[in-house]
Amino acid sequence: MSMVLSIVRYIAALIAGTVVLLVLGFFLYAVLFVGYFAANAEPEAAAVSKNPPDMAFIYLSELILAVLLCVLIGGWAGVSGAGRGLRIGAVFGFLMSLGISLVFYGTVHYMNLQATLLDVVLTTVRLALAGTVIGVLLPKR
Amino acid sequence: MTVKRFLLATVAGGVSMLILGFVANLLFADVLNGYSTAAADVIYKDGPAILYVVPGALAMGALLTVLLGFWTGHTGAVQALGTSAVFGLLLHLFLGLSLFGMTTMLSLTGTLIKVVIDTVQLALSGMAVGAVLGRGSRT
Repeated sequence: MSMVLSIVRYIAALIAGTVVLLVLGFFLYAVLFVGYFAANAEPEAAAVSKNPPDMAFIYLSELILAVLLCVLIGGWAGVSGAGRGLRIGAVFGFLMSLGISLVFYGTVHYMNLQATLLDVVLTTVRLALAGTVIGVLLPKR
Repeated sequence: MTVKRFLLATVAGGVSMLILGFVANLLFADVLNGYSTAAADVIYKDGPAILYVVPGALAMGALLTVLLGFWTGHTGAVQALGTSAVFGLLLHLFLGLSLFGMTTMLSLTGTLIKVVIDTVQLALSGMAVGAVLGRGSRT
């Protein structure tokens, strides 16, 4: 595959991965589970919550997460395809979210334990699906 | 990779995360407090809940082990340090900017300083994981 086509596929994977992360994030956190997370937030969380959130930084952070997924799947693991992308996205999402969420829960009053664990599940699903799309669009290996 | 090697590397990564987190807190808590809002004081727990922080650190150790031992094959302390630094930078930029977008816990400058501190913590923990994995690959 030519270098130009390869770069185009990486850019397509990056854009599609970012869109999947944002759309799923909006659907899961701002539509489907918005009431659940509001009901299970610690009282102290209201003191630091931005309302509305600063979306420019949310968009940027999701773009960086998509970059990391592209580097993991296409660069470091050197694989492509839906199945491999899904596996790497799911394992990465689960371990990263479990690690960060538990440390956050252990140090900060933000969400109760049930909501923290649901967040781990939702992040795993979100990254697994983003990894699937990225795996499909990356140059074939 | 044997199960024993995987567990050893995971524990090495988790213990490194805990020790470096403790050291970073000692060294930089006052610096970061200077960049946090007054409201942020109420959100921190009086002390870390070890029951949750230790499994969290072990999960990060497992993630570094999977990253270095399975996905990249970058074992050995030096190679692992570089890979973990890039991984840590992207991961903590994502986490830091996401948290900055949703909360007023830290200012943007404080967020970026914390990204650097957390990246160093993850890079050094990855070095410990890589050293354990590298030792295993030579035997």
